[in-house]
Amino acid sequence: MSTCYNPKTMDELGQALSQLTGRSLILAGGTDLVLRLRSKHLEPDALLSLSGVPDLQEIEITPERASIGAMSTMARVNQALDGLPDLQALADAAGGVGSPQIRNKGTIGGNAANASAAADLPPVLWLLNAQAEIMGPGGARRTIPVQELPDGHQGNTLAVGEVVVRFVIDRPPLKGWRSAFVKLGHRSQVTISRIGLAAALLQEEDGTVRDARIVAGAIKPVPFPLPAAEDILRGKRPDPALAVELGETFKGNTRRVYKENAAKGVFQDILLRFQ
Amino acid sequence: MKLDFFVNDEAVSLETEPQRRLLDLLREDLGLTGTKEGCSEGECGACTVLLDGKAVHSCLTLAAQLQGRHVTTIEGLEKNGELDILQRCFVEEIAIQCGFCTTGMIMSAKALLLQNPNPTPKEIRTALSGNICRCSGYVQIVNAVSRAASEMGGGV
Ligand SMILES: Cc1cc2nc3c(=O)[nH]c(=O)nc-3n(C[C@H](O)[C@H](O)[C@H](O)COP(=O)(O)OP(=O)(O)OC[C@H]3O[C@@H](n4cnc5c(N)ncnc54)[C@H](O)[C@@H]3O)c2cc1C
Repeated sequence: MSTCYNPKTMDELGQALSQLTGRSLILAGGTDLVLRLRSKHLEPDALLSLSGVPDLQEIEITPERASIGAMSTMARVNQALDGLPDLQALADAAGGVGSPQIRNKGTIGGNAANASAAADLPPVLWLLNAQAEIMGPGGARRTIPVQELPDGHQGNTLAVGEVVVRFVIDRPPLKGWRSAFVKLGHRSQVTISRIGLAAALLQEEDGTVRDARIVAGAIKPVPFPLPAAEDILRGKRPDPALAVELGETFKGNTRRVYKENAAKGVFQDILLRFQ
Repeated sequence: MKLDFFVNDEAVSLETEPQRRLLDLLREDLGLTGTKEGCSEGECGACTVLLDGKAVHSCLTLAAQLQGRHVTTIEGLEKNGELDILQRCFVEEIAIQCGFCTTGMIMSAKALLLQNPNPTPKEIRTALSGNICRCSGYVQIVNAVSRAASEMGGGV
């Protein structure tokens, strides 16, 4: 029988983290972990449930920054950010995860910490240069760029007894930018991404792209930027007719020929968002 | 662990394993077999219940996540011997064939109407996108939810 830690405050969380070993498991929404527990017949020595700590669910948006507690569900992330032009990509990605049931339970922290290659939020967190605030045993804090969270093998770089507490996005550098996320799956809803595309554009009044950032997900073990696509967009209007040329920039990034072709359609979808 | 939570508005206190699924707590420990086990992987939605008013999979919810929380199952919809409007509309619109997906469908629809009493057909379809019916199709089901919404004063 395993011990269960159910902290209610950040202090209690820090204390509980000190008790964890390499055989312990950290439970957020459970939409990934419960499947793994059952399929691998895991027998953890302790289970730490993050559900009871209200601080971890806090979402705070100011003109300076967006602070999103790791235990914020996809539904809440979508609701809180939808309509904010610079952060729209995060609302898009969260709103497109799984089904309503999954969005009511799956968390942003779990999505990022689980570090699946197909996860939808990591490419957006990369795009927006989010920082992950981490708490370790005894409550020790450190902050890393989200780019340092995955280990490249569909795991994360967190040490034993560490959890992500929240993600922080600095907003002043995003002033004037608009962002969007689109994904390609086998069907329109409840679908795992075959391609995830996150884009942010800084446009002139007439629509001309002054600056662009593009990050792709679900292609390699971790998201990656597409500087060649960004170059194509700079100085032009985001015309969907550019989709073919933009799609070509996927060449060499994937071994799956269908993804090279499908990327053109995904670019078309995302360009339509910037009309 | 000692688990104290609420099921259909009644306080429940249980000695259980933290890894026990809500689905098993309901069906095996509490005898509430209206909640069905389909895929056990969060794909089919047959096990959908409300957790603090939101639709979730009871197959992906563990006892460790339930302390102090409110669970509503299909058994909790009937009040004073009367079916919930949604239940009645599912019957009257013949939105049921084998019935296995039905309780999950109704719980997802209930969650929708709690949040949005006046949903469009598209919003109904999105709300039910995590619930799979393999018998018939979704037309009668969407109709039943629309009708329940309008009978409840919303209207589509
Ligand atoms: C039917 C279905 C459909 C899905 N569809 C999608 C989809 O479309 N897109 C998508 O991206 N994902 C999808 N998923 C995957 C999953 O829902 C998400 O990855 C979800 O966000 C995981 O969050 P969680 O809170 O449920 O994590 P959990 O399952 O609780 O945890 C996942 C892992 O992360 C660790 N962890 C969780 N939180 C923290 C934290 N704060 N700090 C440190 N470690 C932590 C856990 O220890 C565990 O190893 C789907 C899953 C299912 C079952």
